[in-house]
Amino acid sequence: MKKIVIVSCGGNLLSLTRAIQKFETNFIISADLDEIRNATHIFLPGVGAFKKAMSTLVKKNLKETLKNLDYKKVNLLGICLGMQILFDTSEEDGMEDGLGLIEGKVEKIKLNIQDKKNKLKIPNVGWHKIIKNNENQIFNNTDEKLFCYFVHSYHAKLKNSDECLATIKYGSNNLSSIVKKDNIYGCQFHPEKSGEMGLKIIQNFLKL
Amino acid sequence: MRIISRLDIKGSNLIKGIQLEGLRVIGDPNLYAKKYFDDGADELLLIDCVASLYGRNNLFDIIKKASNEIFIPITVGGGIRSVDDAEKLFLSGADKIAINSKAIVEPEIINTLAKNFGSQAIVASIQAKRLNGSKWFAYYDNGREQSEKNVIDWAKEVEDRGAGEILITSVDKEGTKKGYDMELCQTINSICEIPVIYSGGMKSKSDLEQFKEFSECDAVAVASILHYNETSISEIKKFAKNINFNVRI
Repeated sequence: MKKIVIVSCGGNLLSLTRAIQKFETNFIISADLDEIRNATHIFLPGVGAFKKAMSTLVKKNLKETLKNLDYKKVNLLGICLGMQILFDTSEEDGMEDGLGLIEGKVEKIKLNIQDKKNKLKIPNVGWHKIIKNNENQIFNNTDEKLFCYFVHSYHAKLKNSDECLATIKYGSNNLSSIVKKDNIYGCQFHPEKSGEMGLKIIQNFLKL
Repeated sequence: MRIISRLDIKGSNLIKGIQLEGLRVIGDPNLYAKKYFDDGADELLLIDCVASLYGRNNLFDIIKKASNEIFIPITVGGGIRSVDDAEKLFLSGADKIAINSKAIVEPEIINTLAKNFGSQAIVASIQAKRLNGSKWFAYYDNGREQSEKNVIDWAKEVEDRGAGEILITSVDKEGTKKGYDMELCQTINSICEIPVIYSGGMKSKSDLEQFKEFSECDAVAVASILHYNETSISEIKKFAKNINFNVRI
């Protein structure tokens, strides 16, 4: 029996809710520790700043709970900031610890001289083609040209490159766009805002 | 390059004016929004164009309905005066908010909004009108009132205050279908470090060619020629792709 929980830690959850509703009618939005411990599919959204998101998780005792789940059994999808907090640390607003579920750190996107000449911007706002490193069921039924919508100034640098399922090219940078370890997935982009293809990714996650 | 469809809304109607005046009713905004989403729009921009006058944004029902069936980013503008106003729009399904009039009289609101919701969610909307043929001044209340702010200084200021994007609308060109004010676009492009959305005056898809001199054009907002069915999002995107812009197709 599937039990789907969207972790509620502030911000706009409406679009994500509507996207999930396309595939499943039964799900809850909650910060309740027991609900989360009993979940089979957890969505960890996140908009805003790393420090604020982590302090909300700590305040609600969610940090320890999320750290200690058995991700061989439980499926988790972190979205945007929700992906970044899966990592060890972030340098946003001074150093801050994340959940440490995937090894690596979150750093500000750096533009080199050529990138600046080409007028690349930070934040990176827009649609990018996802470049797959590995095949995975999260990509089932998606187009060869898979475009997704990004809004971010920071990106995750993984310690183990095989945990990076996909990247995007942003000027001189290859930025991680989908990460995976055990049944923990993270998307730097917003699947709930990435049109039909983004919905496919959400559907594929729900099928895990 | 993002191709954004811009929907100006009055009450429950999608409308279109010329130079932000003489508003004509086009139809049901939700029908048009869905059509543009289906046709491949990269984002939607919904502006309540009488909100500043009445002091409140009335788009809640339209956004809520739109976020049921539309899975691309939605920016909402018009009449936002406080963190509370913004919060209500985010909870109704807005991904970003666009702010103009209130920021003109109280620029600090940009800092406050950015701190509360993150820069990525704050679009500074600038309505630029040329005066005496040379300088551009920032207008507010949907192009009705002139401020003392020089557009170039103001664009820098909103960026410094934490806006994540700038929506630059040429009041002179808006709704005229006479082409963009390219001098304005060029100037803004050369001074801004954050993404810019160019709005006002697109006469046909081939106007995009003018943006080729920019090393990177972030986004254009299109209204009249879509509403009047003179072209479509997919045609514009195909054209952009053919002249080597990086578009989602």
